[in-house]
Amino acid sequence: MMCAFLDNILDLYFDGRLISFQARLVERHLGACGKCSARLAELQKLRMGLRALSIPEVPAGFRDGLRAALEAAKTAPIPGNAAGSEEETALVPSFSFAFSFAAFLLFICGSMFGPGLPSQGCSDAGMSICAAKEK
Amino acid sequence: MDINTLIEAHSDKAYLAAYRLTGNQADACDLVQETLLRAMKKAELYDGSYDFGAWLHRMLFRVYLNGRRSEARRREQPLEPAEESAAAASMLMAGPADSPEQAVENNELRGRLAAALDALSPELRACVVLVDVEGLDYERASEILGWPVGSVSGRLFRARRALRELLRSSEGELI
Repeated sequence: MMCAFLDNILDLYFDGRLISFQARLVERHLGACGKCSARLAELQKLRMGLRALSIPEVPAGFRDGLRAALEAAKTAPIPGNAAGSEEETALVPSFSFAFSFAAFLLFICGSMFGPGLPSQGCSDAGMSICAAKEK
Repeated sequence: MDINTLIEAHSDKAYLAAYRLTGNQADACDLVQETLLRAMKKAELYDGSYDFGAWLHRMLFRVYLNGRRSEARRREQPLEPAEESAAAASMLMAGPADSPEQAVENNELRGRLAAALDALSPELRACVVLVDVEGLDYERASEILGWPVGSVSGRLFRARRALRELLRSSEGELI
């Protein structure tokens, strides 16, 4: 029971994220439970192992390549700054959504109150095209 | 900032972080270059009261995560760590040891650890690198990654668990 509970908070204890009361509780259990102590040792070994991973030297010509790339980017025009670029003319997604929604609402309202289109059949409204034709 | 100063002062440190994230030299160099290019383009957004190195460090992690997300959308990533990757990592990892046998054992262990790290998702890997490797606290990691502290804590928990599982599956026991 306690081991299952500790399994979830052992990482927090390991990272020093528990308040003193919780930390004391964990330490008391660790003193009595070999399995949980072994898990804590695993975490420590894992961290030591990760920190011991060595990194190869910076490859030769790395800085020169960087310098050339940065110089090239500095002299080249930034695409986003060009007049009439795609970024400037593109519609913002929220605006396009609002326009679509407004168009949809307009369509619904038009269908409900308007005279109706011939392809939609005859409306019951008095002002319907069909009613006018019948008269 | 002058390009030479930028490179001299920050490229090596950026390379270290980039290598830890990507796990290989070519990708690390690409990541550093992309980050510095981004930094130049976004220079007007830099707040002078903030440490430039820390700003660049944060940008490097953001570029890494964004790049990996779009890459993942383009192609599926292998679930199992490649054997070549483990072998290459093992060759690269050279650490102090008491005896030749111990050295072989340590190198093998580090190779497995590097391969397990490679198998993590970019988000989990970024958390491990910041907290376990670079020794930052959760608040600092959360600031760099732009996630809430709870997300960092949760992802770190999952990452460590995944690492242990991967190491156990690659060998009988952990470390």
